[in-house]
Amino acid sequence: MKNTILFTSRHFQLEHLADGVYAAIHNLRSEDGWAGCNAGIIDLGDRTLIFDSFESPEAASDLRDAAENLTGRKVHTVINSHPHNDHFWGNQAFTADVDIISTTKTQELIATEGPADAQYYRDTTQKRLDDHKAQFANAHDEATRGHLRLLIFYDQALIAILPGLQIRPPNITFIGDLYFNGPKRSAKLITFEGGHSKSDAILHLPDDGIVFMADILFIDIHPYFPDGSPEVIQHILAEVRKMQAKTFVPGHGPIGQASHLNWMDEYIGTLNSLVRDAIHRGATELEIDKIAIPREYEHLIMPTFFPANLKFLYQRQITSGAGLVI
Amino acid sequence: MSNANSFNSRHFRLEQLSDGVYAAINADDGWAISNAGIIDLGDRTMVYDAFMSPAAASDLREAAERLTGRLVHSLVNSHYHNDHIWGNQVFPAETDIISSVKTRELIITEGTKEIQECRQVSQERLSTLETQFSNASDEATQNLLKLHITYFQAINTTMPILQVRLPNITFTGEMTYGGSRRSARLITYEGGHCGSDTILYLPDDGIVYMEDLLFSGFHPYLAEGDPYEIQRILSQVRKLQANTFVPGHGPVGDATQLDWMDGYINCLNSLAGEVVKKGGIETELDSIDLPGEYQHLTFPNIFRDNLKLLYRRQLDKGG
Repeated sequence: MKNTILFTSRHFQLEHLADGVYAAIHNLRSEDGWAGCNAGIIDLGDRTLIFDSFESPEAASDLRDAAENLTGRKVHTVINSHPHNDHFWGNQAFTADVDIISTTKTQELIATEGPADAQYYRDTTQKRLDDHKAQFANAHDEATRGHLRLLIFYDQALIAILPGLQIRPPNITFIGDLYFNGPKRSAKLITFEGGHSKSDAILHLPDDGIVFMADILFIDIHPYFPDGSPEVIQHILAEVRKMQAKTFVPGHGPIGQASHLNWMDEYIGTLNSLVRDAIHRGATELEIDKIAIPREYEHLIMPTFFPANLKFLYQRQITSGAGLVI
Repeated sequence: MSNANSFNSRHFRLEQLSDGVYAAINADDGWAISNAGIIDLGDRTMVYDAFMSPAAASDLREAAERLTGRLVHSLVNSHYHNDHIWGNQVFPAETDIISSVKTRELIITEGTKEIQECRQVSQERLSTLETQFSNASDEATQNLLKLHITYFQAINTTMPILQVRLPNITFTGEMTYGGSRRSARLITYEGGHCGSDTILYLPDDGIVYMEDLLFSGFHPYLAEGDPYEIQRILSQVRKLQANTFVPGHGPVGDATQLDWMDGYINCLNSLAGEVVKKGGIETELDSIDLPGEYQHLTFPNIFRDNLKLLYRRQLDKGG
């Protein structure tokens, strides 16, 4: 079932990782497409698995069609890696007989906070769009304008998605790890708490040396820390290295390899030392905001995550009142 | 849809525990050998355990389909023993078979040995039992032999057609199926009845399917696991505050059945302890009389195995 052009969607680009394993990559710089994150299609041999359902039912419908075309059968199970809306708002595109699986914690957060979170976006996105448009009109440098264009596109996508959105929480949950044993391959869902979010599940395909990392790994984009703990992410990265896989699909950005785990680790280390040095100098929170993005990270998109990450590390540092662990 | 009374199988008796929740209780002369459960989650149908023989499991599958009006979505294998999993093969390929990671491993390792042993001995065992039956004069002996004969008949009819179907979804901790009508929670323990035991708890109904962590009317089989661990598990299960408990073997009970199981272990533990205390050797266990309260239990030969296990455990612990 290999095709040169696997499937065409405005929302994502499909990449063939192994026979029966595909990554659906959201183009970070595209001002089109409502995928919002990356996803995976895994053919277990007798069942078809989807890892994450994107940010919109529209993109998820294409993902569902791609999975059905590529594997020749209906999707059996959709995994929600963690409780952030860009990874589960597509759930409703799958029919009621498709199982949606997540950790118990992720399901609880989707069921309890999901509706209020969607309401927040319904209430605030128009205003944010107006603000971003106003900023864009006043922005002169190309970098800022490029960033704002992406934000404006994102706001517009939300405005289009939200009216039809229905929160569908997973119907099957687990604590610990969950394995799918198919005739063609096995897939291991392994969970961690408090890394990127309150609960993160990654999907390891041991027969193929592939790991779908969800937001434990970012590539070409600033990672986002404020809902978790960078130290836990570093611990998870160390655990993932032991799997000795070769291909790593990040939650956002292009497909990576083992060196990208190191890159992620180093990004955390760099930001931690920037904050530590600033605290040594007696810097206030406002001064933290002014720390320039190091040159090696200038090409990353979502530069607004950088000060947010620094502020998060700073506040955590101040409240703990101790020197940084790292 | 139909009700539990309208379904007849020679292998089991269906008992409705709640609207959409059924226990399939092994019939003495049938080839189910263990109990099972049918749970209507509202949008999906779950079956708990698959019996010893595909013949009995076919009836279970049909009962589940008729009672809930849909195909079985998930079949749980509580533990690796053949009387709970050999029926797996009759369920459609699209039915998910769920177990703990450890149970799947044990089906592959210990289960394979179990099959080899059955191939070697079960035909001969059946012939011996049939001879014993024709020579037996009293009814009690005959009845007991009949149970053993049925057990080996179930094995022997299964052997030629057996295809072990392994669980396709496995988990290390807990799993919960949230249905439109009720949720079903799978909880795993290690080393109680065997290497891995998974119970099914229905919190909305106060029902727990206990598999072989609970027996009623039978001598519990303790010799493969750890009776003290079973006692710890029973105290965990009590905290669920359920009202109805489906044992792996025997009729459905209430919370007092947990106490009974606990008391059985305590009783045998002190009987074995007396021998240990006076420095007695293992063969002295053979002279211990079966206590009056346990006279009515099926499979009295298991009593000796259980005593022996508890004797050895106490010696290991240093008395």
